[in-house]
Amino acid sequence: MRVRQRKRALGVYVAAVILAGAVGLALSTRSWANTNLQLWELVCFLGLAVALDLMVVPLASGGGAAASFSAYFAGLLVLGPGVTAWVAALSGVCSDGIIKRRPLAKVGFNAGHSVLSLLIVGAVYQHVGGKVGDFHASDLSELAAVAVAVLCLWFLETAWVSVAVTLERGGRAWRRLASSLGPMLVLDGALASMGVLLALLYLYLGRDHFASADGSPEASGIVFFLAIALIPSLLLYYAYRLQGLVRQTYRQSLQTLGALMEAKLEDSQPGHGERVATLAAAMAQTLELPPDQIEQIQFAGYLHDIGKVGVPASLLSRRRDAFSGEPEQVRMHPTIGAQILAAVGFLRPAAEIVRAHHERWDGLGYPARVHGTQIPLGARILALANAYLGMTQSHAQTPLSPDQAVLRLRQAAGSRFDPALAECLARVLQESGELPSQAEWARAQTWAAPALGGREG
Amino acid sequence: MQVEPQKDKTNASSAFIPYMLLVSLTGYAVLARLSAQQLEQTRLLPLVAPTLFFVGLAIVVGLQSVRMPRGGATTTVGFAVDYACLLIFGPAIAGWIGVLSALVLLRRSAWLRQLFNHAQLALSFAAAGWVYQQFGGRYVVTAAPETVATVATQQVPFGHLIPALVGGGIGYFLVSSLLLATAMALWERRSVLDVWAVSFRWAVPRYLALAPFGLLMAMAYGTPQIGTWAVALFLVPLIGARYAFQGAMEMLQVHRETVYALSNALEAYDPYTRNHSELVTRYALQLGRALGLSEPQMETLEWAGRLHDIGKCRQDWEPIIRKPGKPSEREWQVIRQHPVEGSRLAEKMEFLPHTAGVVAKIVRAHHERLDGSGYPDGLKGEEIPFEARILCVADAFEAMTARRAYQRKRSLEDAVAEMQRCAGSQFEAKVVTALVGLWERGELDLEVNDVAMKPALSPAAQGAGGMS
Repeated sequence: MRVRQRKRALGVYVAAVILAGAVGLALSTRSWANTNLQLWELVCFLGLAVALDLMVVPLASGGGAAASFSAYFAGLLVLGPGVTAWVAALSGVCSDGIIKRRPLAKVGFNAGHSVLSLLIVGAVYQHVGGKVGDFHASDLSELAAVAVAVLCLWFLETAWVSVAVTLERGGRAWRRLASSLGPMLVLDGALASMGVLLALLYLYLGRDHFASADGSPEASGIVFFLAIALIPSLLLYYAYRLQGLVRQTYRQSLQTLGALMEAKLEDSQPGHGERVATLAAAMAQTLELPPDQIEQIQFAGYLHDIGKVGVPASLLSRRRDAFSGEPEQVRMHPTIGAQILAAVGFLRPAAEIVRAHHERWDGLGYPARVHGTQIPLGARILALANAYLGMTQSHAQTPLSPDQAVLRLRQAAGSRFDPALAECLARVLQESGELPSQAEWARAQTWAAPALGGREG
Repeated sequence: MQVEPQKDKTNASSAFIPYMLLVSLTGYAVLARLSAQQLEQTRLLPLVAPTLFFVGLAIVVGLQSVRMPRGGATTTVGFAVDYACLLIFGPAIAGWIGVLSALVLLRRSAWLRQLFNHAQLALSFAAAGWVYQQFGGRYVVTAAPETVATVATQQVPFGHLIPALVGGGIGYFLVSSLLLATAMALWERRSVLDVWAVSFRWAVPRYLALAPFGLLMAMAYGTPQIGTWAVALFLVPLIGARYAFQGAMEMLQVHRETVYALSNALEAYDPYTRNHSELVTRYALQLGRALGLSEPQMETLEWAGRLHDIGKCRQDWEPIIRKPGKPSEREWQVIRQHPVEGSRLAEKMEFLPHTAGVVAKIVRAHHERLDGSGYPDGLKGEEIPFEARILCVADAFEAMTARRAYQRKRSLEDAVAEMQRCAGSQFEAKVVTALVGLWERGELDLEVNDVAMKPALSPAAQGAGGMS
């Protein structure tokens, strides 16, 4: 599918989800009549959902998971689907729209798919004998109903988002769904069991004990319940945020060290490593590689020339033809670079990519003269990104225009480069609008950070 | 909390083994007495199943112990379960839960260490239980009023017991950490307070965060409708948190390795700067340990040592910095900017919110002098961060003992005499005294590790290999 078609389809899909959510919401108000809902219960759950919504932890796979899933699940067990759908919609508007000020379409989409999931799962849950507002953890049949509900919610939520991400980035929906169902099961399972815990705490420690005798709300009771209910989530949030922060800083450090390395090399362009990393990551994302692999390709991009630090500057700055041989010592730099990176166990995959980033598809590269698919995929991607940016951003020779550069790369496909990947690069460049200027590049940077991923659409 | 002493120390105090034995005996004696009291009130049989349930929980959580990046004590999220056990059962059963779970968790340790850890748990629970009861605390599981054959689970009004809850938690933490700190202090021949301040003080916030979690578990257990097994649901956030903590710790380790490897590589091809940062870091850490810095301070000192000269990595500065002979005035101007550049870079590589800016500040100040004649800011005395004063001494000492373009290598004696001469004006006297002390005792590790591509050695002192 072409980009423009996909964009249109995404718009239609998002609008349909929002509309269906709104209709569902309107219909669900009918079910309010036969529940004796107290306003303060709604306040409790709304507060809980908003608080959890604000605790977004970054996922390794990009995007983030909002812990409010557990509040919705608790709401399903305690208040029933109709009311919880409203809780989900309102909390989405509060946290996403008012506090985080996300784009309106995303707020609507997130609220819409949450409402739809909750209504469908609620119907299934009650159909298989689940009870609302009277949940007993010791009853096996009730537990089975809860398990069915968890599985339904997990599948639906993953599906809504997978379809949207596919429409945004391309690829096949079912493949994306299949690959994200596994990781999401762990996460949603954990969040759902937190939800069961929240429901139990609410039903038996909150509601019964902190409302006054005539059933009217007690403000202190609401505050107390929110405080205890948030303890487990806060612990988790604190730990995951720490992890996310550490990962983020790690990336930043690698960028800084890469830039330092460039400052030491006389023939390098400031920012070259980062541009190579971004372009290579965009290619890897188009190929739908796993997130860990994309990350390592990116790391290798930042540091692919680190081995040149050991090579005398006089050799590096010598003008040379890109397709002919280079001085022996320059040929050492992939090996030296790989040695430096391999000292860090975590960077082994990146080290292998650095080692092979001057290998050629036909086996005439260096240092090991391997050919074809024996060269690591990451290294083949990196070689293309590196060559493209070398041609278009070079200061030694007159820079080529993107068209000319892509033409050259296509000519060298099959000899120097992997032909399939050369096409992939051309596709990436096309989708980004052919990169005529630096301003376009700035926009291209945003591919590396997923715009829409995980539950945090 | 468990103790993992450093293995490379063999100079344990002669009081170490008697101390371990004494604590073990006392611990088991106290546990026996508490158990006897417990058995006067309740039968054993109805307690077996819940006890085993919590032993299981403690094992599952304890298996997940997170190793701190520098070795030493390992804290676990297990405190939440420990605290819950105390509030549910009281000190006797909680002590047994601790002992039984430790049998599984520490099965690979030496028997004396195992006994000590059991006793340490029992004594901590006993202290916590005593304080808790003094403030009127009650337990969730008590003797049933009508028949001794069963136990009753009751909802305790914890809301009215806040002083007891806080006191119990503090009692547990103090006894546990002091017993462990004493063992570590005897093992490493350091002062108890010193070890406590370095290895345990920083753990206080973590305990504060885990105590409410334990309380919530106890409340849930005391609520009959929630049921026993639902308490196991609490494992989900605990284990999740521990995986995240572990991931963060591993990533920190990777981060450390990466920065070391890459900064070494950037430094390595210049024969004049090769190994400089590594040696400076090593001296600084030895000095820091001798001066009793806390664990977070050591951490920032290590980073600052690693990165203190990173500001020199600028293409346009390279020729100046590497030029042989004494630099001209104009070139000094450039050289004087390197701490500023370095602190800018260090800021970008900072890794935790609580150290934000600290490493950068130290890097910026590592060429300041006590009398205000240093650069770049001309700070004086106390204005200079203490870690920067340590780093300054380590940097100068390395520069004097290593070969530089504009200096002949001096003998160690000369270098030490020079440092002493400048103490008080250029260098912090306390730090120089520590350096002289280390040097006189032959504890200064001067061995040059010339494998520049390798990440740094562990900071642990390894004897005086290169002294002669």
